[in-house]
Formats: sequence, C-alpha cells, structure tokens
Amino acid sequence: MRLTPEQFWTYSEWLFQHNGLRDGMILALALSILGFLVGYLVSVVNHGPVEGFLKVSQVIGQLFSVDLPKFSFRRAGAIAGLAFKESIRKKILVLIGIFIIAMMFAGWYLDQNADYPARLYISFVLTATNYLVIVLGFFVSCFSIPMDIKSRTIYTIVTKPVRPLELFLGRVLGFTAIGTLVLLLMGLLSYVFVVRGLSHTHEVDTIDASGRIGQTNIDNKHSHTFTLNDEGRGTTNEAKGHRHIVRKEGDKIVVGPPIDDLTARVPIYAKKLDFTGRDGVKNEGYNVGYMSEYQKYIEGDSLSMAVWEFDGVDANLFKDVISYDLTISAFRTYKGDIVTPVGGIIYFRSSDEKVETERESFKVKEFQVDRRSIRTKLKGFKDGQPADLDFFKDIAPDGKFQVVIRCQDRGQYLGMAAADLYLRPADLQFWWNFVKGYISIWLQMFIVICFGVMFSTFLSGPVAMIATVAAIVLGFFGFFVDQLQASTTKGGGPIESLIRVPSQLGSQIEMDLGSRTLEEAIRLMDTWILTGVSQLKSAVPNFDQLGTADFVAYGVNLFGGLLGRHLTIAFGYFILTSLVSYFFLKTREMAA
Amino acid sequence: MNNRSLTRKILYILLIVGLLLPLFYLGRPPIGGSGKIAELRSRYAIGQADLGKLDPTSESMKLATLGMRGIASTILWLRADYFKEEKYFDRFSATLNQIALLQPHFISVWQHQAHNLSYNVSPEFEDYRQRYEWVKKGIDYLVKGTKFNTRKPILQYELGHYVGNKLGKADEKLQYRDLFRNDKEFHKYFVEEGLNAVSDDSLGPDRKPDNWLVGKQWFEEAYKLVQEGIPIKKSAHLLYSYAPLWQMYHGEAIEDEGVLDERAKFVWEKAGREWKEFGNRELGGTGSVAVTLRSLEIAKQSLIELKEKFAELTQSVRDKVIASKKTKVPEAKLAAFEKADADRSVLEKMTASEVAMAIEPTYQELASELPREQRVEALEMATDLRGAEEYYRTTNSLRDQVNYSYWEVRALAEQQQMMVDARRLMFEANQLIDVADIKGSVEKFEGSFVRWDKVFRYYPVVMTEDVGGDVLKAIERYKKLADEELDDRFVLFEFMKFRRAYDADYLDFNVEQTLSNWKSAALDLGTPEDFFSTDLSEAYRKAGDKQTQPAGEPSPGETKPAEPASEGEMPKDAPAPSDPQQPGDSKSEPSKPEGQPGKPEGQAGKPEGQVGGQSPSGNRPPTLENPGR
Repeated sequence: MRLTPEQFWTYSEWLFQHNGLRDGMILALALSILGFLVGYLVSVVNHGPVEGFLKVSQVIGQLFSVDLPKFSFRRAGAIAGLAFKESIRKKILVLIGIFIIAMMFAGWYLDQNADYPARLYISFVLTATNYLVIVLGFFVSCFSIPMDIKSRTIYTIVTKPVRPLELFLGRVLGFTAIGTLVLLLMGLLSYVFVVRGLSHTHEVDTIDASGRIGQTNIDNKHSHTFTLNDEGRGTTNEAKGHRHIVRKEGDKIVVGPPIDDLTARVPIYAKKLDFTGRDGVKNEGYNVGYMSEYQKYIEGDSLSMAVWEFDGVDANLFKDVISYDLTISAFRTYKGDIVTPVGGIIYFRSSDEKVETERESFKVKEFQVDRRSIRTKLKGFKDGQPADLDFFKDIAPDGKFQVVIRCQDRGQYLGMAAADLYLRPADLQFWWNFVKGYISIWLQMFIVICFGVMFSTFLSGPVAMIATVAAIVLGFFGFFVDQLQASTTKGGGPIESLIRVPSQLGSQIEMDLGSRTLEEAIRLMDTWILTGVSQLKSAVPNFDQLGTADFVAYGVNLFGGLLGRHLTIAFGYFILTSLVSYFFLKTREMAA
Repeated sequence: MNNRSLTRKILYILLIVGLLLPLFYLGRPPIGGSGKIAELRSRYAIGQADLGKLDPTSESMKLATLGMRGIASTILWLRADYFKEEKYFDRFSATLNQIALLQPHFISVWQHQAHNLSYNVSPEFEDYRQRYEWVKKGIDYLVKGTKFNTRKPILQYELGHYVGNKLGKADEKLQYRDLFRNDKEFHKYFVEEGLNAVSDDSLGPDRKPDNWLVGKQWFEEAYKLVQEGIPIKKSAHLLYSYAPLWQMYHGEAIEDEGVLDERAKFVWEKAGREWKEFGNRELGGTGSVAVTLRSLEIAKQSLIELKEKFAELTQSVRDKVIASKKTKVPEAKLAAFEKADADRSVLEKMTASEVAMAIEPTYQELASELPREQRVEALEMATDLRGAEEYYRTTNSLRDQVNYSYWEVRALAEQQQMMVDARRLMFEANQLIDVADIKGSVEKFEGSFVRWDKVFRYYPVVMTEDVGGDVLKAIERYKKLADEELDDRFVLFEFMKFRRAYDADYLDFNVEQTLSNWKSAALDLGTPEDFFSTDLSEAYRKAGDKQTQPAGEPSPGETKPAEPASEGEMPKDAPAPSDPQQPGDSKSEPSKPEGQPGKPEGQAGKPEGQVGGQSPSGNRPPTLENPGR
C-alpha cells in the first residue's frame, strides 16, 4: 500500500503546521469573492449596476439578519422527513437488492487464486458500495426540487414559510438519512460477505517423525506448513496473507481459523526518511530504473543507508518489546545466490548517534509484511563501548530516535519509502476500521447529495444530474486532467483527441496535419480547455483522495487525523453548497 | 388528416412486417434452404459456441457495459499498466482477469498479458518461490485462454514454450524444475484442464512430472489442432521441431541434475527417434515445395544425377552458348577472367568470378540451343533440375534453421556410454569442488577429459554449442584447481584452441575448415564399440524404481548398429579403432588416476588411453594451424 507522508499527519498538524486552515480560509475567501462577483454580474444584467449591487447586498444582509437567526430545525426536520419518505416511495431501496445480487455473483469475478484474497474481497465490497451509494446520491438529490417546482408544490412549501436554508438543509438531511440507511445495510452485508468468504480451516495432511513439522491440506487453493514448539503450540507459515495458530490437543493437532488477514494495524510512522549515498554523503536515494519513484534504493556493501527519524514516541505504548514492521523491497543487479534473499542490517540509535543497538541481520521479504521486534532492554553500544541499554532511557529518552537500514550484499539494492518501516504498538479491531471505511464512503455520498441539491436549485432535473455527474467524474478522474496538462500522459487534449481517434493516430506519434499553424492553434485551444477544466476541478472535491478503501483492504488503521481532515473537507463543501443554494433559492423566480 | 395519419401508420406496419420476413428467413435454423446466417456461421465456425466455452460471467460483464465494452476495456488496460508500474501486482492480476472476461476472443490479450505475468512481473519478486507462482499465473492465464478459444493452437503452442522454456531455461531453472515436479496441485490443475500431466509421457526419471515433457505435451495438443486443419501462423519446420527438441532439453536437464545412467541414455534414444520422425515428416517449405529434412542426401544425389544427364545432353552446345555470352561481357572484365588465377590481382579475382557467373549458361539457354528433336527433352529436364535445386536448397535451409544435423548427431552421441561417463565424471568433479576435495576433483576432471576427447573425435559437431562450452568451462576450473598451464600435451588442447576460436568467431573460415576436417577424421574412425542395448525402456523403469543406478556400467544385451546419418557419423561396417580404452574402462574406480595431462605419453597410471595430443590411432588430430591432413 502506498502511503504519502501527508496521509499520516495528525489533524492538528494538517490544520496548523501544513496550512490546512490557511488554505481553507483562502479558498473560502476566494470563493466568496467569486460568488459575490458572479451574483453581482447576474444582478446587474437583471436590475442594472446600482440596483444590482443593492439586491446582492440585500440577499447577503438577509442571510445574517433574517434567515440565520430565524432558522428552524423543526421545519428543516420536517422537510427532511418528507425527503426521506419521498425517497422510499421512489423505491430507492432497490439498490440493496442490486447489491445483494452483486454479492451473490461476486465469486465469479473475484480471482480465486489471488495472493491476498482479503484485499480483493474488501476492495470489492467497498468499491461496489462506494459506486452504488454515489449513484443513489445523485439520483435522489437532483430531481427533488425541480419536480417540486414543476408540480408547484414548492409554493406550498415556501409559503409555510420555509426558508431557503431550511429547504436546502432539509433535503440534504433527508437524502443523507436514506443514504445512511442503505449504507448501513450494505455495510452489514459486506462485512458478513468478507468474513464468511475468507473463513476456512485446514486439516493436518502430513507430519514428520518428530511430530513437530507438518503440512496442512489444501483448502481455498492453498496449504500451509507449520512448526510446533515443545509445548505443542505454533503457527503456520504465511500464505495468501494469513496464518493459522496450530496447537496440539491430546493426540490431535488442531489448526485454528485464519489470523492476520483482517487486521487494522496502528502504525507509528517516522517523521522523515533520509538517504545516504555510497560515498557517505546525503542524497535522495537511488533510482534503479523503475518508472515509479515511490521507493528509493540504497546500495549494498557500501556507506549507503536509509535513516528513519521518529519523534514523540510514547514509551507507554511499548512494555517489554518494540514491535515494528518492514515492507521493503530488493533489486538485484545480478542474480547471484538465487535461493537466499538479499540481506540487510538494521539497528536503532539515538538522535545524536552516540547510543545504538547491536546490528541485526535480516533477509528481505518482498510484498509481505515482515514483522520484527526488539526488546526494550537490550545490548548495544554507548560511545562505541558495549553496554546494556534501556531503549526509552538511553536511545529515546524524549521519544526521539533513528532507525538505520543498510544493505549487506554487494551489487544489490534495498528499496524503501517512508511508510515501509513503522512501529506497531497494537492492532485495533478490524470491524471498527471497516466502519471507518464506510464513514469515508458516507462522506463522499454526503458531498454528492450536497452538490446534487445545490445544482437542482437553479437547474432542471436532468441538467442538474449531468452537472452532478460531471462534478463526480472530475472528482474521480481529475488527476488525468493534471497528467494531460503536465504532458505526462501523451495524446493531447480534447480537440487533438478528436482528430487522433478517427485518423487512428496513436498517442505516442506526433500529430502532423501538414500545417504547423493549425497544429499550434489546436494545442493552444486544448491548453485553454484543460486549464479551464483544471480550475473547475479545484472547486470540486477530490474523490480519489477521499477514498480510503486501501486502508481497510491493506489492514492499516484509518487514522483519526485523516478522517478528521475528510470530515472538515466535507463540512467545507456543505457550507459552500449551502450558501450557493441559498443565494439561488433566494433570488430565483419560483414560477415555472 | 386522420385518414392520412392512419394510412401512414398502416404503411409503416406493413413495411415492418415486410422487412421481418426476409430477416426471419435468413435467421432461422438451416432447414430447407433457409437459415443462411446459421449455415454461414456453422461453415466458418464463427458462432459463439464454436469459438470456445460460453462463460456466463464474461457474457454478463459484456452486457453490463451497455455497448461500451471498448471503453471499459481501454480503461482496464490503462489501469492494468498503472498497477504494474506501481507494483500493485495483485490488482494487476485481478484487472487482467476482468480484461479477459471482456475480450475473451481477442487472442493478443491472452498472449500479451500471460507474457506480462510470467516474464515481466515474476522477476520483480525477490523470492524465487514467489517468482515461480507468478510464472504459474501466466501459464494459468494461457490455459484459461485455451478454453475460450478452442480453435487457436497458438495458445497451446505458447503454453509449450512457457512450461518448457520459462521453467527450464531460466537462471533459476533448478529451483523452478524442482518446484514444478513437486507441485501436485498444478499437475492436478493441468489434468482438470485436459492435459494429462501425470501420464507416463510426462514423467521424468524420478517418476514425477517434468516441465519439459509437460511442455512437449502442450505442443502435441497444438499439433492435433493443426492436423485437424486449423491454421497457425508458424512455419511447419519450426512448429514440429519443438516437441522432439523439448525431449532433448529434458535429457540435458536431467543430466545437469546428475541423472547420468541408462535413464539419460533412454531419454536421448527417444529424442533421437523423435528427431528422426520429425526429419521424415513432410513439411511445407517456401513456395509450394514440401520437403522432408532427412531427404537431403537423396535430394543431393538426385540433383547430381540430373545435372550429369543434362550436361551430357547439352555438352555439344555449351561452348557455343558461353562464347555467345562472352561477347556481351566488357573487354576489361573478360581480360581479367582470361588471366590465370595466379596472375590475377584481388580485384581481378573478384571480377573473374563475376564474369564466370555471368557467362555460365542457364538450363533454359542450353536447352534452347539444342536441335528441335532434343529440345523438348532438355526443357523438361531443365524444369526438373530447377525443381530439384529448389528442393535441395529448401531442405538445406530448413535443416539449418532447426540445426537438424547437430541435434541428430547430438542425440546419437548422448546415447554413448563414453559420453555419459564423461558427463558423470565432470559432474562428480564439480561436486567434489563443493566439498573442497581438490585432489579428487582434479582426478575426476582428468578422467572426464579423456572421455570427452574420445567423444569429440567421434562426434566433432558436439564441440560446438552448449556441450563444448560446458567442457571449456570445466577445463578453466580444472586449470585453477591443478594450478598449471595447459600445453599441447593436454588431452583436450586442440579442442580448447578450437573452441576459443569458435567462441571468438564461429563463422570464421578457419574454424569452419577445422571442424570440417575433424568430421572427416571422425568418418575414418568407424563405429564406436560401445553401443548399447535396445531394451532401454526396461532399464529405464528399473533404474527409476531404484532411483540410483551404478554408473558407468554398460547395459546388457546385444549391440545395436548405428543409425545412418548424413554427416559426422561412421559407416556401419567400419572397423573399430585400435583404442586401448575399452568399454570396461568405465568400470574403473573413480579415485584412480585416469590419465594425467601434462605428463609425457606412457606415464599414465593406467593404460586408459594416451592423454597427449595423439589420437588412439596414432594420427594427430587436425589443428587450426594445420587444418588439412
């Protein structure tokens, strides 16, 4: 799983240290000014410059003087109730039926031979749910107000009186409530599907003469080997992302249910990762030729090393043992000893580098989580002299320390990113992480509903739906627009594509229309279009980043900070859409 | 107004019904002349059920795209590329499965992505076991493809390559082969998919499936489809060469793993037999000429006879035609041609050969000059001659492309006890290096080299390719162990020189000439004395049951005459050479010195054969400096 450093900032770090608050306020200010200007221009067209200004000021004034103070949650709640009932009447719950059918036939589409079936199952249910509730979101939200306007029931409502904000909030709450109900049901079904789908046991197939080492039978297209200790307890090896506890009960050896596949690791990540080159000088780490630069590499049998810097680690989280996980990779410049993995050494040291633990050798376990640990009371070196150390007294008295990794094998490389080494004090319950994943989906659905209702306040139903879909598509695929702008994806913009597709010109081939002027003109127009789309994209939420399915699928705890950040973003869009909807509802003619 | 509207509606309905009638006629099942579409579908086997299995998952997924299958596939391909770049290999694999469901009949999907899995993704993994799993995923992907495309033998062909080549020739071939032979789940999978990977034909000497033999079976599946008339875009001579070649590679592999007894000989005997069958198979060559690779000598003989007949017939007009053609040659060039060869400069020599080619009369020209009563016969003979030449040329070319002669001789050589002994001693020498027994290793190497010398004398072509390369590496290792320079008293000194020159430039004229003369010398040596029994399959099974077989013992039973071969082989009736090294020498204890390179002749511990540069028959083998004899 790829984790970027910003994903493991705490909420306060994001808000204050990394300018989350500042950027949000700037965005709010910019949108407010933009909104005011657009509103003023519209008003100028209808009423002239002076009166237009007065009208806009009046609307803004009324918001603070009348609509907000006289806002009634009771009325909003009534509208919400009506919206809820309306959705039920529209048979929106059919979506659950569709979801159940998808679950039933999911087995056809899921790869039975996947190395990590848990990831596949969890990704499937979360993705299916995500798309279905987003569809639910825009279907329920886009048609409600336009249909009321068309059927003139809107007059009955606004003359109650129901204020524009109450109308908007009521609709949003009502649709969100139905969406939440659907999501709850889907979540329950998904959980049962995942747990049942992954549940299996093994029988012992063969065992050696000592009765300690054996092999299980094949179930779910895999088997395990296991080793028992003197007390008759042990575990199997890891296969398909899980293990089993094995224990001897009398004469029988019993293999327990799978463990480690449905987890929620609570990682403590380092603040930063630094690299040192083969000459001992700091560098950015080596690139061994891969297109992806997520991981950087250190060279074997040289001064090259990777140093993780931890800060603020609470000693109370670790009693006798500090558990940590490694997910580093290896790159060979020559095959060498095929059987033996590339090796490295790891050790912990204080920030001033005066105290360090003994170097421990390890062999790389690629594409697996290598679970390791060190004792808090251990042997090491102080100022170069052997000493007995207490980790949190000698190495990390203030919770600050470094972890160093070097590669042992000459001509080979070890690759790592910042998130490839983390401390693992404890694991949380998988079900709670699953719930948090669904909260992320709920947030996306909420934002879609807000946008849908907002668009429906000034557009007709179908047009509002198209606008909402456009916002969703921009939100999911906005990165593609960025890639086109930055030319990391070849093929040109929309106009160039319109020429390439019928002429079957591949994206890697230079366009040649016989006229340089024409080609330049096309490129210029595409640049304008892409810039415009890119600006629009900035205004819509980035659904790709709001998605947290990977956390749940890869068994990493969804951080409170990240969830808090998403909540804040969702709230921000709620405020934005509320204000826009208020303005439009306040100023538009209700006559059809 | 209403009437007009009603009339229009009635007209539309009548038109719709009218159009439905031919549709109905064309689309119904083929009964009584109707059902043209169904008939065409059946004739060209393009119905969905004709292409392969009907998969409800695939069909429902195609329907679910609502006509945007192309867009969905494109997005999936892009996502797959992204996942591969970012090393999300589990998602990559899942995406490939989705692509295959959307485009099950697009063969390139199966080929390209299977290659991606087995060859591009698998090396990304550090652990060889994980690499093996990903190679298997690629194989599994192709197997699935065969179910959707039952009339595409290219997929079975590729499976033969993957299972044989990828597992058997990779750097980690030892590990892969070991994993494969113990991978019961994978064997069971093949059996379920219709390939009996546990039949006798697939089992190696340890009675477990061998990847080369299973790969060979996949090729045979492809052959079955081709023989049913389903075309494949592969040349016939290359296509049909793979099955016997895989048998040979199986032989090589088990020998590398230390199976150096009758079991290995049996494998090579079978390989030789299959190679011969391949040589007797009629293959389409270039144009419309069908050839058999083993017919080269016959073709050559036939061509010579035809040429002689034609020359005899056209002798009277030949000079006339040449004279006539000479008049068209510029004088300067003609002057160069007419000079004596010794007097020509380099440029004049080239000019002379150009002129010689230019004035050489064609068959047509000669035939046209003959009197009317002989002309028809000559023209017919000219046509036959052109056909014969084309046949010979094609046969020669195809033989070169599959290296037919080399493998023919190789299969024969590998069946000889001397070669098995040579390999065994070399294998044991390498093993002794691992346990730091330098002395023992040196002795084994020396024994091995004496036997290799004999093998190269009888089968010089074996000096080229991998075998010679391995022996050269062994010599280098021996040099380091013995810590002495090897001079011309070393038994394989001439081989060493030849091989180094061959490695530097195998197309060099001197290298080719030397090899050619070794082959001529081999013909004079006659039949090797230690051909063994025909009852090899029995020996093979017994040896397999016992797992080990005393090495070096000649098999019981009568000797078998050598198969006639085109080159590099001995005539049947040639006398055995007076070689002091007898078959029983292979019974000698491995620890005793088998000959000591570097020492003068006659000082060897046992009369195992002369280890200097002299051949058993006393003739010095040809050298690069003195290629002629």
